[in-house]
Amino acid sequence: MITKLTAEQEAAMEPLKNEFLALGLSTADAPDAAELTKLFAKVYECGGLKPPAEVILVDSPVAIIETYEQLAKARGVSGTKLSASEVVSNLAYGSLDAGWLSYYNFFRRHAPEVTGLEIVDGLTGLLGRVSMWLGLENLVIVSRNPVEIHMENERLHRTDGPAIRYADGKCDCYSLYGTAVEESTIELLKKGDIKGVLKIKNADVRVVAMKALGAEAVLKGLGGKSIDTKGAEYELYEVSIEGRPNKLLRMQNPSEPKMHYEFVPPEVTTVTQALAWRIGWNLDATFAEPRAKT
Amino acid sequence: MKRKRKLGKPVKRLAYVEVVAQAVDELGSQSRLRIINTVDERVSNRLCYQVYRQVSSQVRIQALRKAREP
Repeated sequence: MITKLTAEQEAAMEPLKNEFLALGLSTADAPDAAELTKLFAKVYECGGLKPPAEVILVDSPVAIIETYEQLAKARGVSGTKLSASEVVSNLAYGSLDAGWLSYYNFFRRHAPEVTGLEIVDGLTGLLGRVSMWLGLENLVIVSRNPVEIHMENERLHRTDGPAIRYADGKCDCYSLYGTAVEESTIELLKKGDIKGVLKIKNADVRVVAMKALGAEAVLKGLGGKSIDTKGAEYELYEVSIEGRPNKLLRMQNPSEPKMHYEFVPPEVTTVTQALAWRIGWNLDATFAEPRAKT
Repeated sequence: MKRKRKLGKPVKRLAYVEVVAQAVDELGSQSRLRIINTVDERVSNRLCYQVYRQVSSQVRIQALRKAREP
């Protein structure tokens, strides 16, 4: 029974996490047919099953569904044929199983006193090698890894194409700051179509699309009109969004070269009023300059 | 396609879920829960977020969507 972790075990966690993260997000091509056969023989053995007679390699999870359909038509099936949705619900994840496998592999590698975990070796062997797979009694249909995965700050993100792309282009996934979006949203961004972005019905998608365009571009696209300034640090804009007037305050960050934007009430007409409102003062209050800004 | 054997039933439930269940039992009987939770938190949590919750869920949704297309 493990009751405490040693210093060596503590130190092993971070490198193991990084190793498995790289495996999980791998875009490496699949091994050759002989190696694939060996890998899946091990997976089946760990599950207490006879090795599959065939391993068919395809380019994407969507191609797994198509291949299953074609083979079912050509050869017939034992029992009931799976619907496309059932094929998807029966997929195992290959490289994408790295999360939970990292946890068992920590004990497998660094706590030899824990026995019986060799059962995860089969699935661990697939990490970094292949993506999703459908295991049947006598056959495996397995997808190659994606050829591209784009992350930013641990979130799936790409503004000019699919964040995840498989080789056959059949399972492209689009994402902005970790939020799944349609391909049409990315097309709007590529064209800089701000009005189109503002018409996106899903509020979460609309917000991330606006963020991707950037406040300056949104302001410009909305025909924002500068109505007051205070030095180079503050500027108050009037913008019309969906036919309603809004006021937006642009602020220079005093500590770094970064702009911040904040909506203020429509009745605000000067930067001074906007600054007073931000700190909860009456709009007509006299606003004294701070001695220092941090 | 060398042979014209009928397609068998899916074995994910055997090859996958049973593997996990056995691993959970083995680990649970040989390690204190506190230790398991520490490793889970420091090794697997962020990985699961990035790889499982983001990549695999989006791929799965996309595959399902394509599967439902006429």
